[in-house]
Amino acid sequence: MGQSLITAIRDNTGSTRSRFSKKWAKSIPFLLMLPALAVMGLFALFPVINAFRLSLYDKQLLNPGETFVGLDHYSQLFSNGEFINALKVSVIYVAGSVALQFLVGLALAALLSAQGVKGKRFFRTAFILPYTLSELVVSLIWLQMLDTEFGIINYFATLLGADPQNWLFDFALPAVIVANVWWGSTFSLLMLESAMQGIPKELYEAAEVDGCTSWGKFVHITLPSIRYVSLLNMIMITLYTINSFGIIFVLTAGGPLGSTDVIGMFMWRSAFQFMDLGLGATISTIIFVVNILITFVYIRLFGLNTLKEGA
Amino acid sequence: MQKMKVLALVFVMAVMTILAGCGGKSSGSGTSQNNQGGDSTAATSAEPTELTVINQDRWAPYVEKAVKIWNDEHPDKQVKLNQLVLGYPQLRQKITTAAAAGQAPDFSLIDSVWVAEFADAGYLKPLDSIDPEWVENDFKKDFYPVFVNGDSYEGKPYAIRSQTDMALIWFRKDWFSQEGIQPPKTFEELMSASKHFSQKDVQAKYGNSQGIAFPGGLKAGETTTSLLMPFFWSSGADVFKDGKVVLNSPESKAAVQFLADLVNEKASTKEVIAYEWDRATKLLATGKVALSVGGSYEYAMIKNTTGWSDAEMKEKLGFVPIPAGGSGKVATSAGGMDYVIYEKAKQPELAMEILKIVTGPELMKEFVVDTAQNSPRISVTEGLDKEKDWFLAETGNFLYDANVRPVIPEYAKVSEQIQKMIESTVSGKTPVDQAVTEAAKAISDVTGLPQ
Amino acid sequence: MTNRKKSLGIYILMSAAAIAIAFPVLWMFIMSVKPADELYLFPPTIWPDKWEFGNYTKALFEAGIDNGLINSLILAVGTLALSVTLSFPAAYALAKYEFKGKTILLLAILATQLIPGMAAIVPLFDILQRMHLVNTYTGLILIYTARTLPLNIWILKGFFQSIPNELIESSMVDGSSKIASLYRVALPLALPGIGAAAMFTFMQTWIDFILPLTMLFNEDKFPFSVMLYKFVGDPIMGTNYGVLFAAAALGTIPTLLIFALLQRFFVQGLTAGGVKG
Repeated sequence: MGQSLITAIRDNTGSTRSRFSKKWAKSIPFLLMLPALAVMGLFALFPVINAFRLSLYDKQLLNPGETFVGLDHYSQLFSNGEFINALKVSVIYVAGSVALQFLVGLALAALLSAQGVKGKRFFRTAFILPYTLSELVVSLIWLQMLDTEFGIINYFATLLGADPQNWLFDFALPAVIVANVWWGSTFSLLMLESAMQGIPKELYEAAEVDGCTSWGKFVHITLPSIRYVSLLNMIMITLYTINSFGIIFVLTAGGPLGSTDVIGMFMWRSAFQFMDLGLGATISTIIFVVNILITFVYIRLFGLNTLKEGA
Repeated sequence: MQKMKVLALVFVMAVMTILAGCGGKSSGSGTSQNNQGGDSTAATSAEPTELTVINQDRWAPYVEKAVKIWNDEHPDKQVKLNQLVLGYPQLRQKITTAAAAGQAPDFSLIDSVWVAEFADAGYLKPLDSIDPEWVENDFKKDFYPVFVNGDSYEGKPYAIRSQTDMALIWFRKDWFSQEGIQPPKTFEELMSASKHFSQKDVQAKYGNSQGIAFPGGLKAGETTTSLLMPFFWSSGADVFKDGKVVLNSPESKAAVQFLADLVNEKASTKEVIAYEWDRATKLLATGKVALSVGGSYEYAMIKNTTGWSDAEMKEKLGFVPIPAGGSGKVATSAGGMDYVIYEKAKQPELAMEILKIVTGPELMKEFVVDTAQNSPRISVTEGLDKEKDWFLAETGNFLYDANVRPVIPEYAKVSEQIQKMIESTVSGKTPVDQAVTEAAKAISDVTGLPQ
Repeated sequence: MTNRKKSLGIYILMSAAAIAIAFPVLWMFIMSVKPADELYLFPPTIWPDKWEFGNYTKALFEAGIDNGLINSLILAVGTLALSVTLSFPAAYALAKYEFKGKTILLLAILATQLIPGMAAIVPLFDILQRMHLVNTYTGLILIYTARTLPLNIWILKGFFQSIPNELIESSMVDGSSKIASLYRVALPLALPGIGAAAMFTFMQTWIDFILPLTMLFNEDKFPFSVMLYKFVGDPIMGTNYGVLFAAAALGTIPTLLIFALLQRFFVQGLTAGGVKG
């Protein structure tokens, strides 16, 4: 394997001393990818297919049998007011989280990439702190901070002369978005900062000669240069936000009155609270399809070339 | 320098690969270690039998104690305990996924409201199929009748209650006596006391910000149902009767209306719908409210949060069952955690023997006194020190008035409908009439029972 | 605007952001040394009146967080090793070979990330059971590897693309040991990329709790993330936030160290993966 690998690589890089047939050389990349693809196929792709199959069946977690119901679950869901509500709430939650998370990450990355700034390491460590915590810990910290009676946020509010608020009652959705953005921005920051560092200095120098302002440089050089990473980052944080609901689970459990009941929460209730695996699988299949659509929309928005740049 | 980095990386990767490869074997090595202790004495027949258990933090030490008692008494039938300890929020998911995959433990702790659901799915072993004598002579004689019924499904006993708790109105006895108010015995008295403590001048005196607090929505989950169901019972209403959904009744509406009125009359606040399960009584313990609808299980928490001594607790903390509504009778709900043995248990007989020790009078008394929980055994309640364990001795009597929440397989969905009904009316979003009618219909739909 | 004024502005902005972002984490540390009754004071004590280090000893020794941390480390490091080892050749193939359907394959790899994790739990349990891997770290590591491979492949692929073909070629023409020379050239160059991929992998594995909760059946195998839940929602005493945050703080220290030490790696690692100049 080692021998042939090297030879094949050499073939590819232009060497002429190959003793192997072209066919063998062609299969090299697939052999290289095989272990990774096998693991992904079994543990990542199979569950997707399984979820789709299960969505066509009535299957309760606690009962061994299953009955074929066709598309019943789908029609049932789309006539269910709570599911429609969950879709609407999800759109706001995801859009709000992703937009803020990306912008905050971008702003912090721009600050960290500014020229001549000292102590970057220190600041970056401070910015990274939230990302070192798990979802549960993040949620519980915010639960304590947002507490109406004893929370530090209300204490700060009173210091500023405002009345204490019941954040998780009157501002439930914004509150969970803020907690989520606080946690997730670091991820955007890290990806975007590294992209910014890869921009050749000459570009900026040339722009300076042309008399560009800092803002001008940011808009005309930085932003276009980090398009590919931005795309990747947005796709990733969007999918992550759709699929996760840990923060909402702890902070509001979907309430009050369904105002934070995102689709992940809804799925969890169906599958594990009420043991309806078939219904849970249907929701996850719908989420899967939505995720694919969103990915395509992003790629469209950024232009297909952005992807090619990376690929 | 570069070389060093590569070397270090290769080394780390090698170590990691080894670790990844051997992780799975750790259980095997653990078992063999434990076996070695027995080997030295002799006989291979004395190899301990493994018992797998899923339990919660506070309960687990008592199972350990029981196993120790058993092992001391049965040197020839040693038990090795494999106990998995989880928090309440994970218990349901862990047990259901394990049971569904045929990985059930021998016995576990579950919430008493899950018994019917698990039994209906065929996951639980009827206790009388393991030890009919114990069921006749101990279970049916010493446990309060409410538990003998509540832990049976379709006539068969499936679960043993480990402790119990009930819905109460907690109140500040010291404030009440200063204001010359009697403990509430009826809905009217509860309303007027709550309103009294929501007046501005009274609040200025005691520093509270609200009259009464109660968990009023989906956020508090099952707690909402278990603590507010007694309001229905004391109003003469119920969810099911004789195989029918009877929720849609004037009595139910009166109960819901009362809860909504607590908010409408400013004795409480809309925010109760977003309370977590333990918030209402936490507010009481921190002096923010004069009354709360809570569970008897919160006694220890109140003591801990307030820092009061036993004497102060007696002086400052009052409690009554849920006052009488339309039915003219007080009510309370009896909850608690149950031990169950699984159909797929490898050692059902042994599990039963251990459970008989865990839930036997001696260990149960130790457990309930230690955690300030009520006893489901009559003899244990009667044997309590009336001076030292005054709270448990007094509340123990309420158990004769107690009901259990509906014993049906679809309980989780039914409970959610009840929580929603209360959340939407207390918040003022839906009129009481409509909310009760809708909930009754939804409950009829999920259970398949007629109205 | 002079340069000095500008950088002063940047410092002010960064300091404000750092305080706002770091505060909740610092607050967690403060809450972790407060005794239970002090958590329910208003106004809250910014500096604890009484330092309750008992929270830490309770978390570490009574609740077994120490064992949980070791288990988490085994899981995270195991996943890291396997995921990086498998993504390395796959990424190389995707970077240096042309073949039909490559773009589709790249998208398909990404698409495996699109399935909500919750939904996969029951089928995954089923698979592990058939492979007799329930209650083993190997089973969990395989699942985590499948979840972290896509990102690792994407990052490393970008890396390999940035390494010129000639560099690899020339090292091979040297004649010495062939495979060694490839690794000598490619590995060090890809090291920052591996570092970045490693950090993502480590974090994802470290914080996950639903999979170990479902797949493991011995408490002494539970990772830290599952142990943490033991403190949440005690049906008798409620959540003991002091001990909980003490446990959380203990679990944060390893991740914090990794980030603080490897951050430069990380930033470089993504650079090549992301932008091609």
